[in-house]
Amino acid sequence: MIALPKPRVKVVMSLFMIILGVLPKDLVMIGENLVIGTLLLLIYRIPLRAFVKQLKPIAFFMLFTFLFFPLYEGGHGWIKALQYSGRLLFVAQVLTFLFYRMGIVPFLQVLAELRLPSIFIELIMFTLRFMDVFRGEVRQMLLSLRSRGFYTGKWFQVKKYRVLGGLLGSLLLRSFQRSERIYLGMLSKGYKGERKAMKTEFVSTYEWLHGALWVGCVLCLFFVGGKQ
Amino acid sequence: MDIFRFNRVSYGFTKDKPILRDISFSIREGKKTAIVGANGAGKSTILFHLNGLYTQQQGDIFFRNQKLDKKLRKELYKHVGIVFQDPDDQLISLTVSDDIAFGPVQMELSATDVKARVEKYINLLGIEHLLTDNPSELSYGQKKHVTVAGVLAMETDVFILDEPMAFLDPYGKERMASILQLLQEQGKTVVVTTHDMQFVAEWAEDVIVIHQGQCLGTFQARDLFGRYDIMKQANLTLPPIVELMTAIWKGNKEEMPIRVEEAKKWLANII
Repeated sequence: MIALPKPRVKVVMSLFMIILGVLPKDLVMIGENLVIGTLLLLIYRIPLRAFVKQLKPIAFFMLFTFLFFPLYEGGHGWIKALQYSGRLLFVAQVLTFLFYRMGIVPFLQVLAELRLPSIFIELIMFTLRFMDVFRGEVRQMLLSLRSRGFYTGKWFQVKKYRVLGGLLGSLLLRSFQRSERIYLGMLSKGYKGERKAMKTEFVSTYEWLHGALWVGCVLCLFFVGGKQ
Repeated sequence: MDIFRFNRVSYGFTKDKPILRDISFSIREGKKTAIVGANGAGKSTILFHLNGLYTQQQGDIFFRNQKLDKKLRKELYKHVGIVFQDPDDQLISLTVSDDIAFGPVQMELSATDVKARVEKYINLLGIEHLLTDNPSELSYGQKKHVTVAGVLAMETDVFILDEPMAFLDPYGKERMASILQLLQEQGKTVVVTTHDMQFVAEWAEDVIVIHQGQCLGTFQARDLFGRYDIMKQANLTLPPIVELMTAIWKGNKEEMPIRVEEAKKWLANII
């Protein structure tokens, strides 16, 4: 079994593969990309369930293309639906490879190592953290409402809208206040508006070549396919 | 030697409602100081000034006899670590290990040192099994331990805890007490705010009493429990042991047991 490349190589090669993979319009090329994607999953022995997990959020969109394009564009619509779905499937394959045994934190770490603008990485991190805060506040407020006899099952009664309006307002205020306190927490640990990356892991030339091989395959297909 | 000195400090979110009013007191280096007072007295606001998070509107604050200016305030996090009352306010990252590493990374330590510190303090707090967990999904006690580990990992000279024992179970309190003990052994200055007067009796060397944004004085715990006027003014109550001993103690007030162990020993002797 071939070992998974180091996170930095994974991120760089995945980004290149995705960019090159969404460019072709030719169905044969898209099919060949899908073969490469399948090989990628097979060679690194990535479980099928990891791929199925990635597929879930895009399955609805793929279904939509098969319903919408044939109706909107007639016979040509099927080709367009196949194009969009094929590209999406390839992206899902590469993303499965990218995030297999790599969480969001190492991903952000790699982005920092690759010297992406700090603001970009922080936006992703704070958005994720804020979602946690927001979810926590919603949970607390719903519990508080339920403890006093308000049940979500009755949400669609008109008289409940006033309560829900109030809930939404105070939810935003509470989340905002919580975020302010979290910001204070960051300042207390010396945060100065820039998230410092920890020292980077050494990546050998062999590892980079390993990644380049996969990108090269997609790149070759792109040029060979383009000349046909 | 005083590590912190407040000289006629005032602070408020709005001008008509000051939180700290012309407050003056000192905190001694290497000592265990408790700041006590009723809810809304201004205890947490004082702690935020100690870490440089808030800037006083009037008066001066001195850190090791150096007046706190903008530059020093920005560097204060390297000397003073603070644990907030609510751990949810201090959990920043998406994994426990990343959260503990946050402070040391801001201090620009090498990756090896950061890793070593994370390992050291997760072992000390007994939270090795939580390393890859999302902090927001932990229990209150676990979150508190993660925030404490995060601040301990910064290895500052001063360690501040806002209500460290609040909402912890007996096991959590025991662990927190052992951490405070460890910090004392390392010669660190530890400042806590608390409502738990028995904890004050057991632990504190200096007790600063705050009432409505003003300092009513700095006392030894034993002296404070004899000052009923101060206790009443600050809405404080005697700890159960002191209350019991006050009722039955006939000897010299200065020798009256105020700690559980002292009281146990005395009672064992007379029974």
